[in-house]
Amino acid sequence: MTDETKPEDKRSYTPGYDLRPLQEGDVESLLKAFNFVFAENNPAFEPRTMEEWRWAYRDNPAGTRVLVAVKDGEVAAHFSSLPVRVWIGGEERLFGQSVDSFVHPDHRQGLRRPGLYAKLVWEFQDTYGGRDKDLLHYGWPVWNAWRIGKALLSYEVVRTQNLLVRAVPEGVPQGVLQGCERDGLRLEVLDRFDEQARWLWDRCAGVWGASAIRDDAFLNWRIFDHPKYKYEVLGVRDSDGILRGYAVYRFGDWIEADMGLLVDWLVPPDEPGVVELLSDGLLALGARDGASTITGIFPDWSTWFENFQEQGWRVYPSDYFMIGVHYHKRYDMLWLRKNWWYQLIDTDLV
Amino acid sequence: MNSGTGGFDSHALPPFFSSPEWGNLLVVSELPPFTIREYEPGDEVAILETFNRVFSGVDPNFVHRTMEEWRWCYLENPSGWRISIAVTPDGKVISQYAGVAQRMLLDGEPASFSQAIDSMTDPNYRRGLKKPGYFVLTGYPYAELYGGTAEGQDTVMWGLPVPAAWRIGKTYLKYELVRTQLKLSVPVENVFLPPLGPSGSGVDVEELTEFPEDAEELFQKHAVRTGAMAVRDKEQLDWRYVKKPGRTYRIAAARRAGVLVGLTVQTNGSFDGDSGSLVCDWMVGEPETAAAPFDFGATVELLAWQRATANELGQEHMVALFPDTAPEWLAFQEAGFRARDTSYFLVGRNYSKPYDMRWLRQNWYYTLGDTDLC
Repeated sequence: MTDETKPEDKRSYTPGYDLRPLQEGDVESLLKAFNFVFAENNPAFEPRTMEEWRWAYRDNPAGTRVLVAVKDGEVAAHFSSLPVRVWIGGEERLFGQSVDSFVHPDHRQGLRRPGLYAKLVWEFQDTYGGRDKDLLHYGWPVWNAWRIGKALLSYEVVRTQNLLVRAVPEGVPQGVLQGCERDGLRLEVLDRFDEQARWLWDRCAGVWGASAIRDDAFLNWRIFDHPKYKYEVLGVRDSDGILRGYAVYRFGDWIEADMGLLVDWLVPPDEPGVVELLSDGLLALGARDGASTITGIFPDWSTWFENFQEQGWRVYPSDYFMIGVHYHKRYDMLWLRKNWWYQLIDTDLV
Repeated sequence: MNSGTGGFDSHALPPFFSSPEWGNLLVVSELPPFTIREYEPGDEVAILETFNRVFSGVDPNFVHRTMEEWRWCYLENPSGWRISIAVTPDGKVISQYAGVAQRMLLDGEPASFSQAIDSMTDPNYRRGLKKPGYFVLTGYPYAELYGGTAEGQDTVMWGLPVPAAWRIGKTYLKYELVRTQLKLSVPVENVFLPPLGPSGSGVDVEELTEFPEDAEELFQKHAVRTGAMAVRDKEQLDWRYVKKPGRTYRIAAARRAGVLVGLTVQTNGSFDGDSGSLVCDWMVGEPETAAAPFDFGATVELLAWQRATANELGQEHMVALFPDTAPEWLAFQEAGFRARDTSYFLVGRNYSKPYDMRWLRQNWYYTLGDTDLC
């Protein structure tokens, strides 16, 4: 499809609805519909605030990907992704994490297929996906979204997702969090990332086929500017003040209540001193918060998947599965399964 | 779908197609004359001839399959066989879609699954860019004939396909992913046996040359902890491990006060690049206490036997395969095994709505011996 394609010739053609990128005046209607839809059957749902919406969609340094279906001036359906800059195949490209999609119940079309949801997703895919556009749209769908996605929207599974879980022993010393130094390395709590984040990522990413670029723009937005979740970042610096590794931790609810979560881990290979300091720090944070375990994810092909098991982490199943829609033949699900480095930070789940 | 060590004849596959349309599948006018039908006695000679020619052409290490092996795999399987072939008028088999049947206990009721293996197409009959290929042409009637919930049909068909077969299968044959399969492996010297209480396990382990009659009772005890498990009775187990031509398996039984509480099977081999001692089968009874989800004493003693056997046979590594949702998955990690990625992914097609891929992922128990990989 080209930009000149007439609306009625598009697969997404939906008479009576205007399918288009979000406009500034749509946001209040969008939020109202979003908070109505996600509160359905979920008494624990906390309405999304304008601040949260702006953080996710307006302030993302990688850009904005939001499509809405509008009828009579109101947002009837929404499909969006959180774009992320990715290094893949020797160049910087975009992936997008699909999140927050919905159709307002007044606009659901029962068993009629394809309904408004599928047509909006098609419009999204045709607008943003392509060899020369976003290379991948990905997500961890709920089961019903997966069923629609595999039938109509080209969803495929990258992997069924395992978790790495570490029991937090009792009596973990807290002193490590007070500026611990060992062998010329110092553990500290970071309050902002700077250009050294990219230096560190450069040292790690060479062996990964694809990875979100972890630089200060991405990390500060994703971690420190997050309007809802509070993360703690442990960093290890050498005697020259160079960042040699970091770990992002959060205590909160995910699969269960009150979980210790390893949100991101970035350490070059063969840095045992850095690993030891960060691991001790993570356990100390977990113990401080009363977490019985710390949970994270690593690609199962990575050395860290094995390294963490040797440290006492165990591999558990989960109900999650990473799915994708790819737009370049080379980067299909089999390739992504063996080459794409991602962690919990690459999702909106924690 | 194929999980054979010979590998799927990917050269015979048509390329990836994104838009299956059944109405276009049988453009028979452009095909040479052939018939697609179920196996009939006597076809095995032609099947084997094509099989050995096809697989030796793509795998320099391929060892020709004998008639004895073929008959064991298909005709002698107590659970049955599934074979769909494309045959030329002069009796040449140009394509096959085949499977090994498994009697199952599914939600406590008898049922059947089948593992698709040995799919092949004679490269002389490649269809190039024309679609669909013979893989699909034989696979479609296979699914129609054997898939379903009627007696003798398979509620679930599954396999561990090579990528090319996966691409075709998901497009034309409704393959879906059950899980990306991890393995458990450990250097033998790192196997850690959890301590038993002061009174020990009360379990005696004995090595056997064939399976005992009470294997089925043990199977029932294990199966009650799962939603789906292939039947492991004496007939099935003897076929799988005692009568299989050309391969040696070691079998151990654990008994407490004479009651069978565990069975395990070992063989030397290689799985996904890990050579060593393979834990082919593993079945233990109900827990003695609420502290473990299975018979803990039998588990420890059978692990000890597996370790001792690996040592005796000079193997340096042990490898096991379980669903990550099985209690054994974690128990083996606690014993020193580590989860590692593999090139395998388990795929399936369900013919009964409740038993979809999510249900299978959560409820289906299997071991390496359920596959044709050991």
